[in-house]
Order: sequence, then C-alpha cells, then structure tokens
Amino acid sequence: MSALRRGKVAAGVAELEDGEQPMYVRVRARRGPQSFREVTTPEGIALRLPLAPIRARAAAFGLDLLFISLVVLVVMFGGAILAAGGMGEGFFMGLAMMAVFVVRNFYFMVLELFFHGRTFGKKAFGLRVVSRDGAPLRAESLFVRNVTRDVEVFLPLTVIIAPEMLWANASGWAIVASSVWLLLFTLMPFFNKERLRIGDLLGGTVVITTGERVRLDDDLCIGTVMRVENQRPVYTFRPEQLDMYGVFELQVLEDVLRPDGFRRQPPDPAMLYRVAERIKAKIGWDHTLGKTHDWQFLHDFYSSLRARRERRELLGQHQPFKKEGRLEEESGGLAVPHRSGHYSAVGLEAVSPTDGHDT
Amino acid sequence: MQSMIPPSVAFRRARESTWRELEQLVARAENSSLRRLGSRDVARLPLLYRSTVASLAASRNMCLDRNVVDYLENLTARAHVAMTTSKPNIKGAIRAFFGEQFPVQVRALSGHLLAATLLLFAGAAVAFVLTLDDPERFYNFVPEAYSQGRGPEASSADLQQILYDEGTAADQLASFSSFLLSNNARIGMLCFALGFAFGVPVLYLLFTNGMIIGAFGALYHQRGMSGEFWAWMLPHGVTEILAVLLCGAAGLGMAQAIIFPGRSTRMTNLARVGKQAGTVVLGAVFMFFLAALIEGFFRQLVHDVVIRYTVVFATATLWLAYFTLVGRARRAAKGAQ
Repeated sequence: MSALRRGKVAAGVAELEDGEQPMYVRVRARRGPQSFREVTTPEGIALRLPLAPIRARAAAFGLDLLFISLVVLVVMFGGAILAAGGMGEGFFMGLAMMAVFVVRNFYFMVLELFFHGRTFGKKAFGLRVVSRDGAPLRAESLFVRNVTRDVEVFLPLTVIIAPEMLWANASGWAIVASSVWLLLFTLMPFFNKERLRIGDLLGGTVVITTGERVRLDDDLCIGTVMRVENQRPVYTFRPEQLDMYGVFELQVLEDVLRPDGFRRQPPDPAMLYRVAERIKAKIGWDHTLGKTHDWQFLHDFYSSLRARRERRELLGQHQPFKKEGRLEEESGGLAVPHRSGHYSAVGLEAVSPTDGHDT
Repeated sequence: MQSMIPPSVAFRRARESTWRELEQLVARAENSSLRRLGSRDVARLPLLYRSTVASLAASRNMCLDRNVVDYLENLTARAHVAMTTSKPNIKGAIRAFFGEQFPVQVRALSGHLLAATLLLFAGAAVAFVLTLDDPERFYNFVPEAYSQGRGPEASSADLQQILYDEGTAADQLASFSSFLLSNNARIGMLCFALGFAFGVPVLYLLFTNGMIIGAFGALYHQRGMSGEFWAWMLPHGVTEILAVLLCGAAGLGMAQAIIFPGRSTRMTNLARVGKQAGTVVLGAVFMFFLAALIEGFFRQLVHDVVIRYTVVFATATLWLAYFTLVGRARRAAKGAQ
C-alpha cells in the first residue's frame, strides 16, 4: 500500500480513507470536470479561462437561430404587405432572399464585432469569444470564424433537411458520403480538447464561459485566531500530529468548515463530530483532556495545519496527502484548553458539542 | 501564538483591498463596457490587474486556502476577458485587410492560383471541343438549373434574347439577391472548406465549373454569337471566375497543408494555412458580391457590346493591378522596421 493514499473527490463527496473503513463527507460542489484554455500573460503567468461546454454553445446558437428566423419572418411579412400594395411578386421574393442572405451571413459577425465577442444567445448563456493567444480580440478573427459558419452549420442543416437541394445530380452513395463528410465539420468541437469549431481554429479564437463568479469568503483562520480576544488558540497541536495530514485533507477540511452553498448553511454538528473524532483518532489526541468543542477544535486544527503546511511548503517540503497509520495516544500532551468560559465569547452555543464520545 | 497563523493570512490582508477594487471595476466593465469606466478607473485598471495577477502567481505557490486561489483564478480570468474583448478596431481591420492582407495572401498563393486556373481552363477547353463536336453533349456538362431553357434545341433568337434581357427594377433586385444566394459564393466557400478533404473535391469543382463555361461558349459559338456571349458573360465573369479561382487556390493550399505537412504537425499547419486561406476566401466572398452587383444591375441596364467589353477590360486591369501592386509598400515598410 502506498504511503500516500489519495482520498477521492467525486460529485461533491470526499472520501476520507482511514484504515479499513472509508468515511464520506460532503464537500462544496466543486467545479466539474471543466477544462481550461491557459493563456500566458506578458508577465509569464498562466491564466486559466474556463472553456464553454458544448451544450451551452448549442443552446446559445439555438437562441440566435430563433432570433434570426424571427427577423426574417418580420421582413417577409413587411415584404408581403408591400407586394400586396402593388410592388409585385418579384420585389417580394427579392426582398425576402436579400433579408435571408444579410441576416444569415452578418448577424453573428456584426454582433460579435460590436458587442464584445457576444451575440444575444451567447450573452444569455454567459459565453464569450476570446483570442486563443490572449491578445485582444481582432476583427479579422471574428470575420473568419463567422464566414466558415455557413459551411459548418447552415450547409449541414440543408443536408439534413433537404439533401436533394444540395447534391442535385449525385448518386445515392455520393450523397451519403458527402453528407457524412459535411457533418464531420459540424461535429468538430467534439473531437478536440478545446472544443474548437473550424472557424475557431482558423480565426484563432476560443469560446469561454464567463458566468461563474467565485466569492471571496472570510478566511477560516480569522474566526479562530484573529477575533479571539487574547489571540490564543483554544487547542494546540504538536508538529508531528499536524504532519499526519497533507494538503489534500486540509482542503477537504476547508470544505467541511465553510458555510455551505448559497444559503450559507452552517456545517452540520453531527458531521463536525464525526470528522473531529476521525482526526483525534489519527493524531493520537489526548482524551484525558476532556470533551472538546468540535467546531472550535476543527477550526484550530485547520489553522494550525494550514500554518504548518504553508511554512513547510515555503521550505520546499511538499506533503500532498496524509500519512498512513496513526499516532499513539499520549497523555499529558500539549493540547490544553485555555479557558473553559471561552466558547460563549465567540458565539458557539448554536453548535453544542455532541456528547458521549469520550473514551 | 505566532505559529498558528498561516503566512497566507498576512499575504491576503496586505492585498485584499486591491483584489476587491479590481473586482468592482471588472463587474462594472462586464455589465456595460470598458468605455463606460471613467478615465481614473481606466488608468487604474492595468495596475490593479497586474498586481492581482502577481498575487495569483504567489498564491498558487504559498497559499493553501483554496477559496483564495479559486477566487484569484476566477477574478484574473474575468479581468483578462474584460480587458481583451473591448470592441475591436473595425475600420483599421478593414483597411488592413484590403490594403495589405488580401493581396499579399493572394500573392502567397500564386502557385496554387496558377494550378486552379489551368484546371478551370482545361475543363472549359474539354467541354468546348466536345460540345462543338456533338451539341447534344451540352446536357452532360450543364446541369438543368443553369441552362434555364438554353440548349442546343433553343432557337437563336431565344438565345440572343437572353443576352439582352431587360428587367424591371423589381426583377433586378430579385435576380441580384438570387445571385447572392446562388451557387457561386457557395461553390467558392465549398472549394475552400473542402480543402480539408485532401483537395479532391476542389479539383472536381474547378474542373466541372470550367466545363459549364466551355459548353455555353460552344453553344453560342455554333450560332455565331461568340462575341455577344462573352460580352454578356465576362463583365461580371472576370470578377466571379477570379473569385472562384481564388477559392480553389485556397482549397488547394489547405489540401497541401494536410497532405504534405512538412516540419510542423498537420494541425498547426492547418491553423496557419487556414488563416491565410481564410483571408483569401473572405476577399473572394467580397468579389462575389461585386460580381453579383454587376450581374444584377449593369448587365440588364447596358446592352452595348463595346461598353460591355470596356467593362471587361477595366475590371481585368483593375484586379491585375490590385493583386500585383497593392500592399507591397506596407509590407516593405514593416520589414524595414
């Protein structure tokens, strides 16, 4: 068994492996298997732009298509009125075809040019066109990426709806082969890592999603260390106790302690109790010290562990995961609750410790 | 107790106000536009951005508070997007395109252009000779949609009448827009796009389009109306055929990039050549547009053969001059820098 065994994180559940039985704790919804376009700034730092998922792009395109059809319908309706007013059939047909041509070829181009790389559909779904190389968006790129749209999307659409229109006098197998070939263009985003259309490839662009905003929460250390009057933690830990855990467990603990989701629900006390017990068992916590307050214990442990890990990182001593096994319990250890009346000062009545867990 | 305070706490405390200020500016830029920010804010933005990017780099190395790192990743990406997607310089891009990029890229593809031209003329010559030999073959070369009643069995008067068709204003608009939608631009684009298919469809399209021209030429030649036919066909034909050839050359260029990638990978090669070829096709689409204008309006308004030929020579000379001369000075000036 490897010395560093990695806990698994999937679908918002972290598995804290410990000995034989795994333990599951719910963690905050992580960003799914999302991929990024890395863009290097002039300072040489790689920024990560989150790529737009294909379904969002398809939805945005559908919305745009709806909008286009609406415009064409309105123009044709106006044309029909004019035609009825004596302008003649030819005029109506000419106007309608012109409208289709203009909207179909220039809708995306003009909107993306004047609307900062977005169309109405893209805006609705929080998507944006950006340059792949991190440079400002160029007008040429937008031209090119939208000229090819005709071949990529409208032509295959014609193929699906009315193949005989396009391949007027071709034999059956030729129609099938050509249609499959054309559809390959459309499906191109499925075949590459950055989900590029042919237009993106040629124009040097990529579509990213801009909807997500990460909020900067309060530092978890501040609630325990900074706001306490005497600036002293309630529980302290020895370095070898802290070294039982690595960066991964530290960040799972961060997830456990952070208020959850949009409603900022405080963490579940029963969960805190279970996690605290796990940690105590692993680090050989001196149970003769009496009951601990789980919330306070975990926050202090988090702060100490993060301080320890960050200092070790600065020295180049990286410990990504926890160590195997557990420390022996040592009575008379360093962990001493400083003041028993301290809890009320930081408002911890709400999450009273679950009792009956001392051994 | 000092050892309980992680280094990243002080790190964050020293920089958080910068991040928050940038966050506010970015949120405002996202909601409206960079241009709406006041001059003070615009001046401040790059400073805040750079310092936040530096924070991100540092935090990736030393901060184990994942919320802080996630926040900085997200904030810098948002700021980057807000700063790089401000409205592109459209006028400058158009000027650069027609003043430099288009003719320069056409010259870069001159070898492919020559090949495409030879192919088209070969098709035309084959169809011309074969149709002269047996007029019935006309139907093998020209699809029904093109011929529109013109064929070996049509009377000379009918054929002549098409050459001097006088439409109403409404007809002109209709035919103009139908030509916009017609095969020409589509075939041009297809030529380019099908370059991905190792160029075989490009060769086919160029050759068959040449055949159509050749068959029509033979048809009118047999009736002794060659001069009038070319006067009808070439005023827009010069521009249009040239555009088809350019698209074909672009398609051949793409095919070459795939079949013979040289030192780079096929994908990078395709991206590079695609950009050049895309420029050429974009210009060709514009030429199709011009050709449709000439075809829709000029041809129906002007029936004098001499004037028609004048236009043919004028357009031919103009395109020749444009593609051989324009953009050289700028390129040279850039190279000298």
